[in-house]
Amino acid sequence: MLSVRTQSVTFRRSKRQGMTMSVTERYARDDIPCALDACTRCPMNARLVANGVALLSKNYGRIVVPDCSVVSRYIALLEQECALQNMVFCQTAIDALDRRNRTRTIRNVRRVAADMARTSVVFSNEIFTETRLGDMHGMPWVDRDIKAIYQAAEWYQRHLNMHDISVIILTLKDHTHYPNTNSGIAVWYFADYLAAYHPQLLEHYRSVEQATLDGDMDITTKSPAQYAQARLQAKAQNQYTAYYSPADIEEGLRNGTLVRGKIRILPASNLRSESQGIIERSDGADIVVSGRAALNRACTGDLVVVKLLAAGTSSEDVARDAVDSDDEDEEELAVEQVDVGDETPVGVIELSVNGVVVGITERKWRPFVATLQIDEAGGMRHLAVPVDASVPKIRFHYPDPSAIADRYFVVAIDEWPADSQYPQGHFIRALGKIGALDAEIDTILIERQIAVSQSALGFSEASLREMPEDSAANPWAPSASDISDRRDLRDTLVFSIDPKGSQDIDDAISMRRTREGFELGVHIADVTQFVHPGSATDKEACARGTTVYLADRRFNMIPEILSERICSLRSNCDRLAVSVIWNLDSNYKVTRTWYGRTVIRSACEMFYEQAQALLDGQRNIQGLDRKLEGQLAESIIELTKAMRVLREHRRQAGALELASTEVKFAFDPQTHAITEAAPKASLEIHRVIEEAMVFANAAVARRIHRSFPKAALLRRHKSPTLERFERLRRAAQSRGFSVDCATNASLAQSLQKITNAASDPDLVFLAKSMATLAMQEADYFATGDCAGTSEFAHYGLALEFYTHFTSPIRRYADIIVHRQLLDALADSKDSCLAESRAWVSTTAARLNERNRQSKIAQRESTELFQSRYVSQLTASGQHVIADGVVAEVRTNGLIVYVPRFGIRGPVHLRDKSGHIRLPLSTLSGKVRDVDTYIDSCSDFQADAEQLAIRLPINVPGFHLGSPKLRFAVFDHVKVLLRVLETRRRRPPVYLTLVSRASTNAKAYHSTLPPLDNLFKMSAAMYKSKSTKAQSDNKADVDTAANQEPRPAAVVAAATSTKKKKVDLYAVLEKFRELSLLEK
Amino acid sequence: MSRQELLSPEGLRIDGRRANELRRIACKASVLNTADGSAYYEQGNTKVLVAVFGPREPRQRTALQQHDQAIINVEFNVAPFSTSERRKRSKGDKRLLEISSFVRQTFEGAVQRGVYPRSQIDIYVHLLQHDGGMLEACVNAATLALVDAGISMDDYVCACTAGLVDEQPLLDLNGQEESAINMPGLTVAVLPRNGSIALLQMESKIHATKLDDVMQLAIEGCKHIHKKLDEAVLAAANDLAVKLNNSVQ
Repeated sequence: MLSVRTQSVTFRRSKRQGMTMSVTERYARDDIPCALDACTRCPMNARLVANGVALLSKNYGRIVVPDCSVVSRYIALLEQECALQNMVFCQTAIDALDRRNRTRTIRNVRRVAADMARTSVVFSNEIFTETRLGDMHGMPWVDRDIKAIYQAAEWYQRHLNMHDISVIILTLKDHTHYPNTNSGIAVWYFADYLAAYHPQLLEHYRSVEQATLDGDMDITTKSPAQYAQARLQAKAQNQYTAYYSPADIEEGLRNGTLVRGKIRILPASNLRSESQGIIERSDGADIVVSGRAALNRACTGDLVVVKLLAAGTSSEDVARDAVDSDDEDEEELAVEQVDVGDETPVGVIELSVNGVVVGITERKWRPFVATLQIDEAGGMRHLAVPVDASVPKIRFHYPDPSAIADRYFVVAIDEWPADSQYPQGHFIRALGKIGALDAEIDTILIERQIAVSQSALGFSEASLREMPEDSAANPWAPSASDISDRRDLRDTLVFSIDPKGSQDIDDAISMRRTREGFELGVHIADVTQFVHPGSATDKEACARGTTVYLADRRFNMIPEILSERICSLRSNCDRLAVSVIWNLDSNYKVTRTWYGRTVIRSACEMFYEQAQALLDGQRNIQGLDRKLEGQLAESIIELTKAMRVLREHRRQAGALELASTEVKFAFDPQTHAITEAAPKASLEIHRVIEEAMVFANAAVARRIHRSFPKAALLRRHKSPTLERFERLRRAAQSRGFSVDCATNASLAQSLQKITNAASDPDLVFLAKSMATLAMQEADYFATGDCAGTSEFAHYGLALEFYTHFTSPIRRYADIIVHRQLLDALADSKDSCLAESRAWVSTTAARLNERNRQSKIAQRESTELFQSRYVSQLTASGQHVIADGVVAEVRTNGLIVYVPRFGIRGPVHLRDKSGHIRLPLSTLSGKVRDVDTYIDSCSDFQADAEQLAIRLPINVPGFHLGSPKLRFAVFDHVKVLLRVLETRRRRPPVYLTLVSRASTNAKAYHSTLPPLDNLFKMSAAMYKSKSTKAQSDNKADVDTAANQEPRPAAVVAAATSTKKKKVDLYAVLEKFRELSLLEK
Repeated sequence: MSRQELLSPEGLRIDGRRANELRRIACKASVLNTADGSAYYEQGNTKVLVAVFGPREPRQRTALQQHDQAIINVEFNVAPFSTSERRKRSKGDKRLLEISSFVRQTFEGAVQRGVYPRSQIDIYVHLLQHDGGMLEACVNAATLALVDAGISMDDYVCACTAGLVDEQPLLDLNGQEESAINMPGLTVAVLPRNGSIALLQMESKIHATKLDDVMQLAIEGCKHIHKKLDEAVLAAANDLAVKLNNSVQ
């Protein structure tokens, strides 16, 4: 029954009006139950049971009433230790916590009360007429609360006197605070109580006591007002430092005490306890800013002003990292599995200096894709966790968190005030569900700043209006004037070779014998004929920069009507082109080069496989015109011969043959499920076409540079520094290869040697990709920006001049180059005077950025599909086990390359706290052991090319006499592929070692000295032995991976390479394996 | 502000009520001498003063277009001191206009307007203190004032709010509960004797299957309020009787 109504007055600060008074009413009642299971006097107990609330247990013999000091300071102990039971949490304590905004503690109290096993309850003593305190005029809150709790305990004592239950108040306060009545209530120190009843909890008690020593966890030491004051002060201390004024920054930059640069943030991870910012400087050492306080609200990409610290002082000395990490959640722990640490040091000491951010001159805030951090507190303010880990969490308002809990959404940062741990932002819009394909693709597009959504990648009406007409009824054809202005090559045999299913054919080739030698033509679609400078289409294309190819879709740079129809050099259509035609003598020396606009008629659009078949001498190929076949084959063969020669020239000049990890997916057209994932095959014809394009690009580069020495748009590839090759050098050395990286020629030679000598195609591939990683990215530039032509060089292709000319349909750079070439020939209708040096230079920088982003997008989409493929396979109950090669050694694990899927994935071998997590399967080779870890491994050592773990003596498969398990770069391993289900980002693939059966041999391999000259051996001898060895080896493999049929193609590939290059080691190792098995 | 749960596992609300309990209601009719009818109404900490004038000659000529029945005019005012933060509201505040039009529409159905052709009834509502349930308090207070003014009505109009938290309907939301997010606040006004609904208003979402429960609870509340109003009317009548007797003697 409601009886008394009271008013409670509270004061709070409001932003608008300072201190305001708010009045709430509270109704006291007389039907509050005691909640003891044996009590017969409280009818309302039954109602509690009906509500699913735990009751106090009579059998426990005592009731424990923790007071405000215990609840507020030792809530961690109260919550975790199940031995503590029959607790009565008074409403007084909850109110006291609420008055001090300790919502989290209240939630913990509620959790204890909800646990049936704990038989603990919340007692609403403040609204119970028999226990509530009357008006306490001027009494301090702390004393009042003590009195209220005592009163509640007294009531319990009276109420339960017939049940022989003692009531104990637990406190941290001096007993003088409690009234000394002879009511029989025991007031105990919490520690004394634990010592008497739960001595096993004392240790935990002490650790909590230590942890809460200096904080203000105990609310009874301060009144609510003082408490709030202390919190405000603490918050002020935790503030970020204010930025310097613009004048100070300007002066500091002028006199050199401050440095300005673009910052890149590395998020905190397993091995970096705090986030770090790195500012790369071309002159002098990189600046490292570590810790959130020193970073001072800087985000990746911002242009920051940094004060350098004297050597020896790290950022921590300057400002304590002020951030409490109480909002970490489990999700982040799960991610650890895929987060393999830093690169191991390779011995080259990188010079760096420490600094602190004192100003930010330009913010690079863009809309970020994020997911919601689930917060039980509810409310309107939430934290968004951006998909990009280097971006801080963002606070934002959203009324209905459940609507976006399982979705990606876009948030923007508005500001980052100094007193806010996280930046403040606002919600923009929700994307699809996490894990849904379209949402993932949208995420990639937005994160890479390609577009705000997929639908935004359509073309504007203005741009479509500019398009020429081309319909089935009225197909587009060049006009008479088009043809008369151009060189007519419609009688020449022109053909194109592209990937199967290609729609945008931008290059075609002609090759024919002439009296002096040959005439080679490279014909490129004349996009500039349709895309005029300054038109809507041109602006759009310039903004896009490139066509973006994702694993399953693409986003065109120019409208489809051009890219797939009018510009595309389809067969048996008259098409406009810009051609480069060379006259070659019989030694393939260029005698004359002609550039110009042409009109062509492609005889045939082939795909690579068809062309390769023609080259291999096959005839009657499906899909080709029988009559044409002869001519085409002749052309292709001549072309191949020519290109082999040109390629050899370039190779001798130092061109590198590098590897790429492109993976191709095949899709089920109905379900969009992935039916196959395989690395793209490489045929000779690929290299032939590539060579022809390089040849054309180089020729055009030279030509436009001649006419526009200052404004030509070229492409260069800077030579990398030697230190970057250190990792490759060491890894190769461990396999007995020496790598000389002094010049591109010597590097190319070294790689060639590896290719020829190594028995293992994966090793060759990895060595090449390591070389690729060591190199810088090629980039566009305006010739005027370089001091001399020596800086134009293309390192990878070993060319003095290079540009992009051959794909104007999908790259804007090529459109510019086309315009420049046509201007140079004075054959252009649109003058490109506008394309001055400054314009070319800024556009080049922009195109580099666009290219980089679209490349990353492409890679990310491949990773997306790889992970979907693996999870698709896993979902169907398969264990996805595949062969892998160790590609890199990291500080807490390995990066393993799995050739079958083209996946580079992490193998995590040590966790955050430094425990070694070596799965038992590594030794047993059984899939069921992947989640069992071998105990007491020790001596985790990771250096540049090798990772070693000492095994304990009692391991079942203890073998080879060496207690150390070593993983070196290029070692073969068998791995289980799994997808980590996270709620936060694209589910990453991670790997677990399943076996290193095939690695034993290789491990020895590396310890032996190189024996290059002993490789030759009679094939006959090898064959006779190897058949047995191989079948044995295969059997071995099959038992290790009996769940998964080994793909035939991989086996075949492996055997064929073995036969080609007979490796003495391999033979010896087979013998060794045999002997081991026979034992 | 407190972020405590609205309904504890023990079944108690922040202010100590259970889910189906009303706040304390105190009301009195005939509190102003200058008005034809008046009432002061308190529901918890929400306090409303209503003055009714009329039926009287219409002030605006346009009002004469409906010459066969009385027109009802409602003016709603919120005192600047009604909430803990002082805030002045302009006359054109859309929120106020909305409330006044709700009240007007409610009474247009309940007042027997045909009895008073070519006349106008003015209801002036003043919210003195606000702690949730603004509309219900206004309707209840206006009913009392109209009865006090002696204007013929079909029945009392009793209003009550109800909300829903964790699938549990809550009766008569106070300010804290009302401002909580995810709290649908449904206001129902009924004519208690025949049970017909005069007003039904809600601004947030509620699951359709739950609407019935919430509305039933609100209607229960209305019936309680009806009793309270009835008592207030009787008390006023007694008062008047006492006064009449006194003056007769």
